[in-house]
Amino acid sequence: MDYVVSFLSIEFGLCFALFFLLYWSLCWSLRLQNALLLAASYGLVASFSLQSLYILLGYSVLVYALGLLAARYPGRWFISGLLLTLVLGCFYLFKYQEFFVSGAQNALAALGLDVSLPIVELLVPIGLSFYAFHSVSYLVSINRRELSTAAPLDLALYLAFFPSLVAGPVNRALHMLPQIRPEAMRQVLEPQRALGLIAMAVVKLFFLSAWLGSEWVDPVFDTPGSASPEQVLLSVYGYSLLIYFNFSGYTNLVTGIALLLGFRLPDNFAAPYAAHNLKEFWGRWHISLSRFIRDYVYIPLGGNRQGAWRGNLNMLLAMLVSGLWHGASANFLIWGALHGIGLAIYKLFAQSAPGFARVPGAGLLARLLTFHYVAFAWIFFRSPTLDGALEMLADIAHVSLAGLNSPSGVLILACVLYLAIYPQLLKLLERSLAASQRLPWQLYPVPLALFVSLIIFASQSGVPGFIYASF
Amino acid sequence: MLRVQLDAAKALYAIVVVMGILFWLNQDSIKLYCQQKYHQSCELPLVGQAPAWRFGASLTAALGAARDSFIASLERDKQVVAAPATTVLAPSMPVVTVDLEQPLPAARPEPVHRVAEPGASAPLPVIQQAPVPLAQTGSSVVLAAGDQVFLVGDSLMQGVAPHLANSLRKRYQINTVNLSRQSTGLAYPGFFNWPQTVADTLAREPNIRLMVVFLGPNDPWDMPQGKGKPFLRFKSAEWELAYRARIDAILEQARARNVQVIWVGPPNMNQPRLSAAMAYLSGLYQQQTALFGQHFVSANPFLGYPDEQFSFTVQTPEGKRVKVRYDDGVHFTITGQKMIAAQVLSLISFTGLTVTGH
Repeated sequence: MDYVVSFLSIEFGLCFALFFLLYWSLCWSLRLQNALLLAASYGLVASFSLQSLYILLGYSVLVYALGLLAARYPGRWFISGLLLTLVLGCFYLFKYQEFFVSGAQNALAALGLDVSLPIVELLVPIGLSFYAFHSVSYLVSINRRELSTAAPLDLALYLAFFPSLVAGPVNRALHMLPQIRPEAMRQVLEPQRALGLIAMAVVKLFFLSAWLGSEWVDPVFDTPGSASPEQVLLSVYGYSLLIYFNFSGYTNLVTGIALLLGFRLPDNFAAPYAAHNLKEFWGRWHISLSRFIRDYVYIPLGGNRQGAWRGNLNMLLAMLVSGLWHGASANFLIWGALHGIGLAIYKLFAQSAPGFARVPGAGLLARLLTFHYVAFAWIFFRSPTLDGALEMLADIAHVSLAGLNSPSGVLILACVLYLAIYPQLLKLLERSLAASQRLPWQLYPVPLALFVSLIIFASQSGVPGFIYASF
Repeated sequence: MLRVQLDAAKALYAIVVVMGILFWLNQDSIKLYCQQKYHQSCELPLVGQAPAWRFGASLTAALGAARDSFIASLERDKQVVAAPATTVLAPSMPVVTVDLEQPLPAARPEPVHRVAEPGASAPLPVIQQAPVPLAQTGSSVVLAAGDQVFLVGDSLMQGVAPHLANSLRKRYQINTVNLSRQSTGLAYPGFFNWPQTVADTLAREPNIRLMVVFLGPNDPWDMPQGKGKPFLRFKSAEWELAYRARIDAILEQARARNVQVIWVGPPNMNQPRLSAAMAYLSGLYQQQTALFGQHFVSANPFLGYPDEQFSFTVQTPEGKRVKVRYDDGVHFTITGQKMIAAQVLSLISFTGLTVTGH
């Protein structure tokens, strides 16, 4: 009963093969290729719900009109005002209404006022979180005179481009619009790497994240308190790895699909758990989103130009916005706040102990510390309720040496070891990937298909979900 | 332009080869997936039965058999090691069963309120403050210390199960066995066989005294009746007969093991066709459970839905409006899940158990 289109389904694979044939047989006409892409994108949205399609169409028209206005009066305050109204209005209407209304109701009830505030029953349209950000990048660029307005259909495709519509990455107008209207004929980009990326997505989604979810993570997070402290701790390690595999696997998948269609999507992950501090982590995790938040929230708030305290406050606000974007709940706000506070602490530490990096073993220590702080924050991110998260933390406090002498304890140790040698593993992986790219093109698909089959064979049945499709 | 097309052709070649091999090796699971999703036999024309094509399926099947026997052999070794430990536990068994020899009162399930009043202006559903009727009939479902509860169902149950399990454990120290799995039901035993799973689980877990079943939305379709035979039409007499037989198979297992059953009928759905189908299936569940003297209860009153009405939100007795259904019009929000879990819980009485906390 899952209506969300899955890019890893059999149906999508078959449709994509046909689409690919048609798309490249039209390579002599950019206009037709773009029209086909737009039609496919709209078809995909419509397969989710017609309502989502109408909202996307309406949104695109508004953005186009606002773009014309911004080009006419660039840099004027009311342009930013209108943009903010549009984006925040949509987000409120579709994503946050319930959260704020029930929050307000509870607050009023606490004051003794029993009020039933109106809620317009609306479904969250698919991709809204992402195309709203695409539109911000477009309109801000016009407002800054970096860009002239795009043709209506180009803009529509920029907003709706199906590989990045459902769960990102977040595109920038300056990067994406030139690819929609390229100077030369479009061509398939790095086909072997593209297929390799898709195979990697299968490994990460079907195998790793699905297995971690059902074996380590879901049973504990769904019913916290029923597991031993060591199992709870293991589930936190498990979830930290799971969300990375799930989301970076999804990014691999859509990046591969986009390459096959002649588009380059922005980088989104660069081995985030190899980061030595939180700042570096955010430069490696969901890169397209964190850069977006930096450029369109943190810097407009004033960045770090008004002193250290104001800078930290801005950072905290930016992380809170990021948390709220992920979902309307106290847990996501706490998650954002933890990262904002963590970043401030890191900055203080880096200023007060600049020589730390030269201490022997500091690199490993920094990596493990960063990972564990991030994992700590993930507890709030994943828990369905605040109580659940607190209960899990209380459980973890009971982890004992005796308890670690158990199967879960061994697995926890294996996780820590895995993190410790992670950079070396990465190098190994990169080398073997590069070697596989050197296979002749006639031969390449055979080992690739056998490898994927083996992965599917070892995996559980069922199509995995994408965590980020629901944000 | 020729170069661009040549590159594309090479990539297409790679895509086709990869997909061909994947389909060849995984044809059996793809066929099952297709049956379960599109409700047709999904036989590939022309090559479907060709020996060279079937060989791919045989390869995978052989590999699967090898894996299973490998795991089974490992498990056997483990059991030999663990054997002495299990015999020690045996004496405690009778103590548990004495407590459970409670006779099952012949439950008289209340008729479901399905008589819609056409034309009546439907007000916003209001959750009844009083528990659902069945709860008042002398609390016929009884659990005691050491009992386990078995949760059976699809994604509807997957949402409700954690809340049920949490409350049972925290309040009554009762453990649950939750095997709920998305996309499952009774119509496609080739994809997932609930009667078999129930039989195996009840045989393996002798402490299970209550089974809660909650499924339905994956079932209202034509269903396969065997290799090469046409599909049974949904709601046809043959379909109904086969479906009732599967409900019976589950209830039969429960009776044989002296396990109580609460069968929760799926609530109304946003889509009218699906909603009507749920009412039809609920009727079947209710009739069969009544025949076995077990308990049926519809989820509609749990969510405060009168008759055949669907609503994303309902009004609590305090006058607050809460969202109970997820945007897809099928699944529940966390609030909805909790409401259903609480109502199911209210149908159970706990003997000799002290309520702790919460």
